[in-house]
Amino acid sequence: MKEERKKIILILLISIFMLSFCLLPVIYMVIISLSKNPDFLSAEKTLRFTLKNYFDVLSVRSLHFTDYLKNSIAVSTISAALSVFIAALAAYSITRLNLPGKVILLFFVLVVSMFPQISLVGWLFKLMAELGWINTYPALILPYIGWILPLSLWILVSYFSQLPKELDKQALIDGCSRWQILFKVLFPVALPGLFSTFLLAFIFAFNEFMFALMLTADHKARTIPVGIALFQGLHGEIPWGNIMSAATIATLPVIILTIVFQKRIVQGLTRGAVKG
Amino acid sequence: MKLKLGNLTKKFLSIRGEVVAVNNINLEIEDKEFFVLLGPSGCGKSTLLNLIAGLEKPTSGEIWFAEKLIVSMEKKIFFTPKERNVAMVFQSYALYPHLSVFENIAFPLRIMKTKENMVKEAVKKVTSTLEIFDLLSVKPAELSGGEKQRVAIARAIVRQPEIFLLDEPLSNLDAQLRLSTRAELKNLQRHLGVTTVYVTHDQVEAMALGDRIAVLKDGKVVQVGTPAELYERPANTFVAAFIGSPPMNFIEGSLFEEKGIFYIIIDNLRIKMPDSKVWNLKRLKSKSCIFGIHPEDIYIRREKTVQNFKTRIISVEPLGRDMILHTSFGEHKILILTKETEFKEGDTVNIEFNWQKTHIFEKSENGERIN
Amino acid sequence: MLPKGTEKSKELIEAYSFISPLLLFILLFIFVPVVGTIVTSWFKATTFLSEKFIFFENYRLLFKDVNFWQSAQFTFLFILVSVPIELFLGILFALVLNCTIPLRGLLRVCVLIPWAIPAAISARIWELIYNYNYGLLNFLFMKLGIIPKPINWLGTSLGAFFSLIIADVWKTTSFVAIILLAGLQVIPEELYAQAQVDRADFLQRFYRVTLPLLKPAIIVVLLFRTIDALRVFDLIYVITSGGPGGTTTSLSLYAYKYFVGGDFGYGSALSVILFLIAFFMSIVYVKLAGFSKEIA
Repeated sequence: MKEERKKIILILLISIFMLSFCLLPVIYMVIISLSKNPDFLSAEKTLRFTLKNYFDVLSVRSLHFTDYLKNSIAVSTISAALSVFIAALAAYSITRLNLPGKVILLFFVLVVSMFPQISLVGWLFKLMAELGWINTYPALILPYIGWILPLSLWILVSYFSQLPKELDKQALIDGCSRWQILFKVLFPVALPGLFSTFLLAFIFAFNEFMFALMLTADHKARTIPVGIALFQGLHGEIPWGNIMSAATIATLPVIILTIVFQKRIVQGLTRGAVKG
Repeated sequence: MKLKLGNLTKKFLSIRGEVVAVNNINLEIEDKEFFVLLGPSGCGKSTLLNLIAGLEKPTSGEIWFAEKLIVSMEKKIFFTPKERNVAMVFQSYALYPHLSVFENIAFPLRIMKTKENMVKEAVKKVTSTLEIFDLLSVKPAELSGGEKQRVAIARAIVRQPEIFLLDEPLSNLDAQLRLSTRAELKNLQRHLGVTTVYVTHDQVEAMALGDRIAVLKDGKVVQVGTPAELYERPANTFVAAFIGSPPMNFIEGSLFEEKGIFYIIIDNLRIKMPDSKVWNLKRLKSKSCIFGIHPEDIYIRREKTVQNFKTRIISVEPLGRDMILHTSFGEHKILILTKETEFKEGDTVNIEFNWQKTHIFEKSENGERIN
Repeated sequence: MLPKGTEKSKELIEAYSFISPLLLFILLFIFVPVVGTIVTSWFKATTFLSEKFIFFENYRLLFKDVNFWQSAQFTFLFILVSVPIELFLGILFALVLNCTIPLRGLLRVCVLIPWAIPAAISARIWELIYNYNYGLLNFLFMKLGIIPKPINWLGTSLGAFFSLIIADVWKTTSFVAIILLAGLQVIPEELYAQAQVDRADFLQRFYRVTLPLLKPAIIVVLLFRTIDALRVFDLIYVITSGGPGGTTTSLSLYAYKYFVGGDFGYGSALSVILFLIAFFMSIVYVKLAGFSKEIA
């Protein structure tokens, strides 16, 4: 009985710590974004509520915040969708067709996924400069696809190998071709798996920083993490209110996605890691 | 349609080296026949089914559908499943989880680009045959095991296949449902008149369903015959042990002939055969052999005679109508099926074999039948 | 109805055609750039028009470069301090999340939030938290009476180091906790019951049942986290930009500074060193975790 009580108190304490540890910075971000005076914590000042920061970042064109957001969403969606499609084709080949050397291939992809970004970005910059693509969507989308593919592949291979092989056999007997099996049977059945892979791929692309920092120059292609990191405001003093409201707006979609699809994201993450 | 397999062999390469899953199999399956492939797991029966379906390619050999050569590795002919018009029901039923029952059944027709009204017509017909008309809009996940099985069968027969392949379709059902479905399946097959190949490891199922049964072991056909033939004249100890419930008794002993009279010797027991022509012995290589006898072919006698001998009852299993007696005779264990029920543990009984129904096998690895 | 030989190769072609887009992208946008970086590191390239082949000269310079050794030292210290803390907190969080407690679903979502926020954005939040004049940290510490007057956390190398560690721990503990939680959920409930029947107390159950069975998941997490910490960039770029006095410059950031400065040759040489470390680390870990066995 005594042990049971100790345990409950311990769990409670850790939970409280965990909750405040995880949420405090986020709450702080939201409070600052809503305050007229970000310095309200300094001596004898009180918090004054305002929505002006949000109006600023959403309406002042010269801050380019909406451009960054638009770029981020476009680049992440396209890269995630393409990488999931490409990875799904590959996962089909690995789990269903007699692909020789698939073990080596998976191993290779795993090792590739651990390459540091910095060892790619210099050459990618030269390549994109040569092609004249710096500061365009393709300069980000193409490397992003390559960058997200290993993760997508690992998740989907683990997902596909759990779908019964009899489904393929049945479809073959029912007269399907390879492509028909893929599009009429396997993809529809694997839709939840494809979707959670897409979510993860999207979040990865949305959060990417170094490529975007190096391969974009201004609001034409710059993504939101880079935009916020380099956000300096118009007049000397760092505009924390604006930055935090921009950060809130930028993280809101990801946080909502995370809350709504928590189970799928966790599933995808653990498939990609533990199963591998 | 008649189905013929000629010298069919399938080898796999695995980590442990080459595995011969199907070893030079020759079979002729008659038109409209219900043919069962029976064997323990790993005997190659499912691989054989996959070869007939076209899901796998043989290493060598031929497959004929009626007069048409479908597969010949020598002549480099291979028809894909799409080109064969075979239907298959898997053990797991393999229903498409994303499609409704209607769409599952309609799937093969849709792939063939059948006209919508004909699809509806065909689905309606099979679903009323199988009494699953009210399930059409349901997704497979909501179906019970029995319903799933019906849907899988409906999908298989909707396109009127020339050959119907079933891979252990009853093993996921509970015992009671299995019994009733078995009877329905046989009726359906008769009604449709489709050549059917049925794979199972359950001898009771095989006996109940098959017009003929092929018993497989290690990729080879051990014996082909009607259920009665397999039961009454098993070709070797493997088939004999596999078929019949409770299983056949095997007793090691020896046999010898003296002036035209046969004697059976089991341990220090010596029994003179009443009639030397009981067995039509092919050959008698060695004197030692294995006697096989079904538990119901052993009689219990009140009187001790020269034809019977004493055994001790170790345990009794009442089955309701009958009773199984586990008895021991020296080192030998003998099962007896009897209608009399007054026996109890520790009793001794006099038993007599029905010599006409005693099977004599060689005492060798294969245990070939010698009578 | 094709001949046997072509049938086989047709299957092979089919299998490869499904996987070729993946290979193409990985080769073109990961593999070729790495090779390109290696080749670039053999050139003296201040602007890309005047390249001069100098082979290993960049590497020779690099080994004599005090700043390189400083950033290497920082990077390894960063790994050595951040990863164990993340692992400890991750196990703690995972254990709690695995208990049957009210609002468990909500707790799990909350734990995921730091992971979902882009590192660059969370870095800015932490930058503000550490702010000397009106940051949350100074405010809280002064209110609690821990410190008498504000501290310039990012002004000293030690302060900056731990500020970065805390920000990194905040951002990545979620990932560790989620992976370990999945590992915990695989452990059958009966084992705990059995251990309880065997009269093992709370701590004994943890050390003798949970920890050994969690080992595979822990190895995987260590692998991912170590490699990730090795390449750390976003956080540092935003919070300290490598300061004060270059004491918090990670290898990635150091190489980046040369790229921005236009010296692609030297930046590439630095990147190649980092790449080699990551590569060998991943090989060692992959072997350790028995990946190849599991795939087979």
